Amino acid sequence: MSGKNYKVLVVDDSEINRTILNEILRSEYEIIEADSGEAALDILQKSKGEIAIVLLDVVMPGKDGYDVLGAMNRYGIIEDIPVIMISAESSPDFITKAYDLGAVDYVSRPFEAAVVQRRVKNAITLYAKQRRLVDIVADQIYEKEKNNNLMVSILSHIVEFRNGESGSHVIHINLITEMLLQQLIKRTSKYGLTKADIRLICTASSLHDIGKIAIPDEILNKPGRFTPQEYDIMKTHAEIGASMINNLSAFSDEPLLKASYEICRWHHERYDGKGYPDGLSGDDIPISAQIVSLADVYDALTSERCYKKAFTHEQAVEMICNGECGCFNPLLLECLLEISDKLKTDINGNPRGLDDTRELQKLTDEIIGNDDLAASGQMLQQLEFERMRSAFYECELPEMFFSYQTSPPVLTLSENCAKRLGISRIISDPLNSDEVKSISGGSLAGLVEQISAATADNPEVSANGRIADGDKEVECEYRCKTLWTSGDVPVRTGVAGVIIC
Amino acid sequence: MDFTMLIEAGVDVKGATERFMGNEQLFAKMLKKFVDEPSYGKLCAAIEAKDEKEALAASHTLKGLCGNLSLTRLFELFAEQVTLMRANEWDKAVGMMPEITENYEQMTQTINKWFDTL
Repeated sequence: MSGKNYKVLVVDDSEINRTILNEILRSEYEIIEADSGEAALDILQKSKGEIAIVLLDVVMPGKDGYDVLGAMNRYGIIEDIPVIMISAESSPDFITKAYDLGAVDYVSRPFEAAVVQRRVKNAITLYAKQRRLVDIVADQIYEKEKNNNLMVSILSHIVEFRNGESGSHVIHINLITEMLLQQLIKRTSKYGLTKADIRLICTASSLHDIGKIAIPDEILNKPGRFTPQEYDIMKTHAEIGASMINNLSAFSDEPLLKASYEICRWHHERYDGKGYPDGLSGDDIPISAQIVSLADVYDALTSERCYKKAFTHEQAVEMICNGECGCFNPLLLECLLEISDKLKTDINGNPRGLDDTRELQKLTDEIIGNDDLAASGQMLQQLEFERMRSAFYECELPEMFFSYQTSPPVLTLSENCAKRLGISRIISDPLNSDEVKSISGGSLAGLVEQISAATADNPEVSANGRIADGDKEVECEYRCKTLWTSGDVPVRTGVAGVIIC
Repeated sequence: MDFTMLIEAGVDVKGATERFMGNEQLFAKMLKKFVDEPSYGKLCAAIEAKDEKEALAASHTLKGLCGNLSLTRLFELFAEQVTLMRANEWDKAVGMMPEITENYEQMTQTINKWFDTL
């Protein structure tokens, strides 16, 4: 029943000992043998996440069992991979040391085969459960972060729309900032940027122009050149944005606000010190602001504005590198050149930014138009409960489930469904998605038609189709229920369905 | 399988086959491997070279092996030697070698002879 799903790494310098453990465990697990601590660490590093458990001898020439445990601590994998020490050592000091270094269990030689089998099984089961819990918690944190990002996006879009811009500017700045940061940390560690910093800076980048909310309309959206006085007013947006952030004293310890402050205030500084408002130069300008500044200039050049046409990617990069559009950190310019190809395809070639904007716009409208959306904590808890409940059923049942919500249009598949159809679990705008179209040649059209024809009084529909099953196609039946709001005029909110074959 | 010869030589056959989940073939296979195992050679070489660390590692491995294979007398001897080495009683540990050698050679010969009868 195990189907040899788990890989067991047996580490022992004695061949006999490895063979004994191999014989004891091989009916249930795939066994990988290592004859030294060095070989074990090599295998652990190369097979990220594939090893389910390590059986580790203590006394070995070269790196011994404790050295291996120590290295697993340093690599940060001791939390993820259970280690059972197996040794002829029986003194409490040795055993305690192994536990202190993170071993989960200790089996002393001579051992009983049945005991080893059971302890291995217990440790694997325990860790598998823990991993699932970690995944669930990570999911929840991700959800929370997504909501934060959503709020920031809504806020920055308000600024963009007032600015008469498409709204894709914010998304572009976000993407470019992230690409530049990822490239920068490949090149240097001198700015000490962690993954969390990168996420923060990307989120905060959306707020770089919020100070523009205080700039009068006739200046902000003036098509022609600014007079010197107008330009001076325009320039105040950096300081105004920063003080808006600064005034949120209740949250002054939030790292997000610190990053936002830096970006708002200093994204018009120049590396040579000739920028505004403070005339900072070099790395006195926080790296977050330097990067957003570069991203801002690039996107401004490649976008059409009321006063200018869009330059091509190549023109923009050349102008920036020639110093025609400001003065930047040479290292960042190198990063820009290094990501140039990716930048060209991701920002200019791919309409993703626009898609996101469209969806966000819909969602924003809906939030604004819906007064009683104030969900209480209890409601959220109830939602979370439902989410976990359905996740459990999806996981346990063999049927393929899917659900579709109308706004924003997102298709969510159960894990087995996505795996079997070979497409993503979550697909936004599925009706225009090539992935969805790929499922089967046109057999979905009938289903979509039926769903469109369904009513709140007659919500259930079914349709026959074909889906891929390995190399061939098989007949299947889609059974769906369209979901509606209650009230006098029901509105369709989505579809829940199951694929039976 | 007839284990009489091994039992007479002091091997706890019952304990060993139980440990191998009643799999006598596996036990026999491991005994065969024990005869060819390099640890004993390593122990002798390390004692000769006064390499205390290597000697401890080899003696320790032999302790574990003899334990798993229920070669009771040898297990006791290696366990004692390991304890002495750990206590920095190097000379006493070396002093055990004649007794260990005698027992080890008898045991490997017995195992080989036993295999010839199979």
